Amino acid sequence: MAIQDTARMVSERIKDTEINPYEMMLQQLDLVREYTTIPDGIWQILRNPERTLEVSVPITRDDGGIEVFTGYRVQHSSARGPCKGGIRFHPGVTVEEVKALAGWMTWKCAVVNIPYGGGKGGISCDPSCFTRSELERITRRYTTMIYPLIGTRRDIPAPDVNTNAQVMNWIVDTVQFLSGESTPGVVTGKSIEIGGALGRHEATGRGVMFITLGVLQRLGIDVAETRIAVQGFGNVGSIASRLLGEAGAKIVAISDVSGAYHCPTGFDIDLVLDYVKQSPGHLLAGLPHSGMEEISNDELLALDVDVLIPAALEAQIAARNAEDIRARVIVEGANGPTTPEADLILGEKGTTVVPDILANAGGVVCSYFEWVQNIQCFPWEEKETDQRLGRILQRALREVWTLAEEREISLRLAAFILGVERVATAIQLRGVFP
Amino acid sequence: MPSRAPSGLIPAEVPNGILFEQALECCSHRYGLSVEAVLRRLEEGDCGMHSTFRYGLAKGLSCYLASLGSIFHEVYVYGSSIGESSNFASDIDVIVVVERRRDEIVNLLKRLNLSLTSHYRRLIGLERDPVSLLDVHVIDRTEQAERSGYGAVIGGLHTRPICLWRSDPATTGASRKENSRRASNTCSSAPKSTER
Repeated sequence: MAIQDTARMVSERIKDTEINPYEMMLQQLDLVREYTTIPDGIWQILRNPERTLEVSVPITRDDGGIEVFTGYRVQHSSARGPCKGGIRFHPGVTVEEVKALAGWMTWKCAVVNIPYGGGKGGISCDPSCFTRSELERITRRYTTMIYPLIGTRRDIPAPDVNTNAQVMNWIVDTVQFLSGESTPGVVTGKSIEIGGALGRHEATGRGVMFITLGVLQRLGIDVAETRIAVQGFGNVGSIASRLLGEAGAKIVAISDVSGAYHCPTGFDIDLVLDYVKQSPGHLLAGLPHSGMEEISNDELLALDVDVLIPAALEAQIAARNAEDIRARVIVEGANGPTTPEADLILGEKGTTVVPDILANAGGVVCSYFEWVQNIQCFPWEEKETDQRLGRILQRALREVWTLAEEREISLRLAAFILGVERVATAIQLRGVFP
Repeated sequence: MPSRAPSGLIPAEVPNGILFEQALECCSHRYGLSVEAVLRRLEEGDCGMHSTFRYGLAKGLSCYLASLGSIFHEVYVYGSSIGESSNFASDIDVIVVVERRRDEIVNLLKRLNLSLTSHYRRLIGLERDPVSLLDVHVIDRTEQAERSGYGAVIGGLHTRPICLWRSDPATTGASRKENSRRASNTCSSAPKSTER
């Protein structure tokens, strides 16, 4: 048989093979286990979500037809506080994925030491096929179905893939009608007008800035001498660029889906932001900036800079290009921008990689602030949010950094260990009921 | 998985298709059978075929690890994969020698295992077993030199592991790209039956 035939046969057989994300989460836990002394029984608790709810979500389409979708809400752990985690609308949503992401939220909240456990939810659907009124109906019906689980002191959803402030607004409204009470704290990521937090929009990018500055200080690199490349000029990348620029760093490369751009003397980020505000599709394409040249995405990643901030898609730094990375520090603004192979190669090269679980935690910390303000019925000034965000992330970085140094491990593993140990401690202190 | 998966849930990049193709070609070459016939034998639980298939997979894996640069030094396979006694649920016993053990290496190998296991189940049409296709032990140069732990197994008279790949001392410290090229040169063809 020709090699091409073999290839066809193998690809036919193994196509659509999904790597179970929950198994992957458990593998990560097993990795941590070797570094801790957490008792067996506690591990068993950590390995299993507290609750998994699968719901049927029927909606009437605009043409009068009825369609039924499957939704989930998983509460991984409430040992440290109410469960916290987003809701995603995507055709690829599965219960295994939601369980894995709920677990990840548990560790993420614990790393930055905010009083939350982890949860996640989602509906297996393609929201791009819905009209606005259909989207509202599916959101309200899903909310009704998971209503027994969610609540200000129980489980607090937030936006995630393909959900936004409007979806959260519908959830708040639905819960208010079901409970007969005003409960803005039942979700975070709402519109400002109905209880959203000032500064939420900037929080993840601001968090990346705080973490980057903290790492530079620890490595003895002068901010004023720092050259930074930012991949992705969306919400996270653009705000991190602006704030790091204001702190004195030079942003020498930026990119978005329209292309990558290099300006060795540093971009005027205010000018770039003004351009993007009014450009077609809010893209960088056609940016008029002196001393700038267009480069490829791979060239941006390989630039000789001090800090690289991947703030776009996942798996951008992979085995194929990890060796080319020249940045001394990588701050993962996006989720999962580095593959395990690349992580290995970067570690060998001595690159400092700040993991996503810490670097982009600004969003969840600000969600916590929103929740606190909702409970207190007392909105804060934006400045207060920014200052508190800085304090929490700087403390988290200090703790992760210290652990990594003490045990001579990567920041990624240190963050994971810190998160898991905190949750395990909470479970031990509470004891097992009854 | 939808976009925006955090780093803890990012799978390994391992080219499963190529690895499985090479393993099937290895069986096909050794037994003089078509790939369809090899797959049939695997589905029927032919022990010799399962061993050869696992050997071929281990060989492919060693090439993949070699392509990641000077991190890995040697890769060995032992146990049922080099005999005739593997079955559906058998794992592949592998020893990987590295300069120094690091959590990123363990992490990568765990994710490689997850990926290969999922694809193997799919290829053979299995529901659950094996739970884990790879049983990988990572040892460093010191353990190998001192023959401690699995370092002792490498030279063991009874276990007799087979070295699938060894880095060329002359190229130690070579860049990953150079290693990748060398590895692909030495590993591109299907393993020959005489290697066993």
